[in-house]
Amino acid sequence: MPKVKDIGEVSLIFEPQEVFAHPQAQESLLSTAHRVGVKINSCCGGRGICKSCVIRYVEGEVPPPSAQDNHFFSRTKLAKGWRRACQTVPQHSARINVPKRTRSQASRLFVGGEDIWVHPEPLTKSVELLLAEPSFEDHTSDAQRLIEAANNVADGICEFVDLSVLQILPIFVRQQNRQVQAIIREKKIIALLPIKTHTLGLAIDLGTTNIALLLVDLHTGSTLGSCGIENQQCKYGADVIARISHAKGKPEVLLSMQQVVVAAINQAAHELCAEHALDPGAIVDMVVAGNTVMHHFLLGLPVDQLGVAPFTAVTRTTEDLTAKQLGFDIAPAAGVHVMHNIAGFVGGDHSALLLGIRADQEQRTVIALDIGTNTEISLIHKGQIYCLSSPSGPALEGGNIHCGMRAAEGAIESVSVSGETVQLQTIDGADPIGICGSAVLDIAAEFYKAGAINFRGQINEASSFAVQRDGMAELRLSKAEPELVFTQADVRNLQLAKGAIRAGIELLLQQAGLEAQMLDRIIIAGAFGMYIRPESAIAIGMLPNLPITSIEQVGNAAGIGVKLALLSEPMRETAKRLAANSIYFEQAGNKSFMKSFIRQLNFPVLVEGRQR
Amino acid sequence: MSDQKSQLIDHIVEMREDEALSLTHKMLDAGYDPLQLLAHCRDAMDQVGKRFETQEYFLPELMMAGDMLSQISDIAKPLINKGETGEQASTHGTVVIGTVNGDLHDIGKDIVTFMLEINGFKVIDLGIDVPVSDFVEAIQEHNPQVVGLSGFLTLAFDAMKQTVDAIEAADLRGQLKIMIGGGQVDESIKVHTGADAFGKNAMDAVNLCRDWVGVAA
Ligand code: B12
Repeated sequence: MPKVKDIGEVSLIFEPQEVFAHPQAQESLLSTAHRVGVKINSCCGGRGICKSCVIRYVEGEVPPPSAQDNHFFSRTKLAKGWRRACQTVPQHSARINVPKRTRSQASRLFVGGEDIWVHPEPLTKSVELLLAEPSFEDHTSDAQRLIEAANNVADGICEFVDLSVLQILPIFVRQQNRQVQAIIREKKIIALLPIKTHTLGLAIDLGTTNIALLLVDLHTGSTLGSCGIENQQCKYGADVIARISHAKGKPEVLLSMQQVVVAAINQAAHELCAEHALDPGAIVDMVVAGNTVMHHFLLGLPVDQLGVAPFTAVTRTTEDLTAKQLGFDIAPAAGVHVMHNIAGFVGGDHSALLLGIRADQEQRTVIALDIGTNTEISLIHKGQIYCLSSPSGPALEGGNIHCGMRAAEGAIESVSVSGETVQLQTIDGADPIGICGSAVLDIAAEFYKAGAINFRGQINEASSFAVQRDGMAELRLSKAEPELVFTQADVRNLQLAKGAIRAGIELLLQQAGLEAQMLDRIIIAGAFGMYIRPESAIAIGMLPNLPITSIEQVGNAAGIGVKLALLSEPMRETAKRLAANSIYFEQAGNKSFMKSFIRQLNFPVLVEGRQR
Repeated sequence: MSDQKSQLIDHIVEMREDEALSLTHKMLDAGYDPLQLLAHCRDAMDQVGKRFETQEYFLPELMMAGDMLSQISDIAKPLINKGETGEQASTHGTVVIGTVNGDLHDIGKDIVTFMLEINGFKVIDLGIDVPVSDFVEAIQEHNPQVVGLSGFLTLAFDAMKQTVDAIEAADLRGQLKIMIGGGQVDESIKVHTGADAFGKNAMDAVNLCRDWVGVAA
């Protein structure tokens, strides 16, 4: 283990990766770490609000705690060298330990979901051609020969050749002995591939936290591979507003927001292709869906107006772009379709979700929602779609929760209370190091049922699960180090989150003149929704009291929607119609939403563990 | 009589709205002094506020209590003889408050307003999404000792700063103190905006105001 020296320049070593760094003047430890590629979570974007970037000085002089850290840590913790990376400006050389929880990658990058089959009708056509041999008698250009060959296969199919194809044409044609596969879109040859290679498409669900990629065979419609990666913008803040404020008025930051996403997608796409021995150049079409803010960042559009009332977007739709325009490293002239946004914060990812659950064909009365920091909710009723985005906040993703963490190894994912015992289940069965969102719901529901929390959300001091700290009761989940508790403030944050979701549902029902009991189904989409226990969601009143069997957890419906839009031109059109025809409600400034929200903060009266 | 008083306070504090209202009617019909009755309500609100502080109550209870109070006022006020309002006399000072430009979150600000009022401050509430110039005008009109800026969006912090700057530019800073609060507001935001102090909750707001106007708790 290299020793820390403190001569002249300050040098830092980050454990356990053993990465060296020289901090720049006034640079926070968090920025230094990010600059040298050491992963430190930063849910609040380095503003000293959350606990995600805690680190420990293990060697060297510990800088005095910032005023905020002084409040944040106990005296013993401070003395043991605990600090938050965003609050610490290193003065001296030191060795810094980055604990597992601070490094943890969200492991539940769920990309699957039930696959859905659709008859492939891609926007690209592919034809295999044998080009005539050039000679002194035949003075036509390579491009002309290519176009003619294509039109011989199907008359009128092709008129132009993209510049990127022209640039490789002579060499490629000769390499392939004049036998090539031309990929044609809207009368233009956009790519040339060796014959018999499959044309590929990339479907991307661009989430605020995670990005899911599906590599699809455009000919057969099958998914060849998939992967999930973290959205690299996370280091600029966990939620969209934090990122907007980061990029606001700073074109260079806006640009880097775009670049980090594109670079991450490029890398993931290339790895996926390599895994399956495929050529990224054979990716000739791409569809991306993201919320309105992700959409703007991807296209490099200014976001300044998006974060403040009345939240004006630059655009809701764009014509299809090319991979080259956006910097995607696939066939340069491949089309990039960005799914159309609906309105406000409800973006193309929700259009994709609606397509994924085939809302266009839905006959029943259905609520479909994707739970996250912002929860998009749609009510589908009699051919009409009503939607909104509810600001549920980060509590359900483990954010703003005292011992909260992402869904990663060691996170408690579900909790049950029976009698005097609390049972914890962690991801991968590891020792518990924190609490993730699905467990937050369980904790509220189970302790509420057990009487340790009352219907107003107050922790019952007299409960055997409660312990006192600084005059406040909290619920103890695990005594072993690290001690895990659920605080009164955590219950409040959970109440705000679930209240916002339920009030959103009620507002939509009210607009359609319906009542919760008239719902046939609730479809919970999204990675988080996959792991929650619907019973818990009902017990705390986040969802209305429907029979458990009418609640369906469908996984990444948006991902499926993107795939459908990639594979089939008619589906892409359907998604555009869904986006254009959905009726959007803005709850900001809506008094009835606010009343309903406050009413929904309490927990419902339970009869035998269920809402009355 | 004092039995009715404690009953009324009890009904309000325990969120028994129907009982509180019917007792109000009964008392007033029997000739109970409406000013006195309103004073009991303020006592009740004080207790509700305490329960909120100790986490026994949360937002729904505050909203219900506020609703009850305004209904009772509506019943009692018409019975009060003109010139006999008696309320103004007891204010510790004036606070101008509002949610800053671009931000529409008002729940937190409403609670602060509520708690300041039950603690004897006169509060001028400018509402939400308040343009910088409205703050300046309201200050010129009402001469408050304290200005409260509320904001929940990260993006509201710039609007807070602009508001503070404008108050300073209008030469009004010397006569008042500025406090900020809402969701994610903290020390660093205080520094960023140039405000005098920040508060994490409504009780902080009350304590700051008390400090500044020199009232003992
Ligand atoms: C309710 C809510 C809404 C409601 C607001 C209803 C209303 N009329 O106020 C509606 C639906 C309208 C809404 C809209 C939006 N919201 Co909103 N909202 C919330 C939510 C769920 C609760 C906020 C709240 O009212 N808390 C209750 C109060 C009482 O809590 P409190 O902070 O403890 O209050 C105390 C202190 O703040 C203090 N205080 C408050 N003001 C002041 C002032 C002074 C001077 C002092 C001293 C103290 C003080 O005293 C209070 C009482 O003790 C939060 C999420 C959350 N869980 O916190 C998001 C949240 C604040 N919203 C958020 C967002 C993004 C939005 C929208 C942009 C999203 C959208 N989908 O459209 C819009 C923006 C509207 C706008 N321009 O303002 C984000 C902000 C993120 C960020 N980094 O900025 C949050 C954090 C949720 C999230 N997605 O992460 N929202």
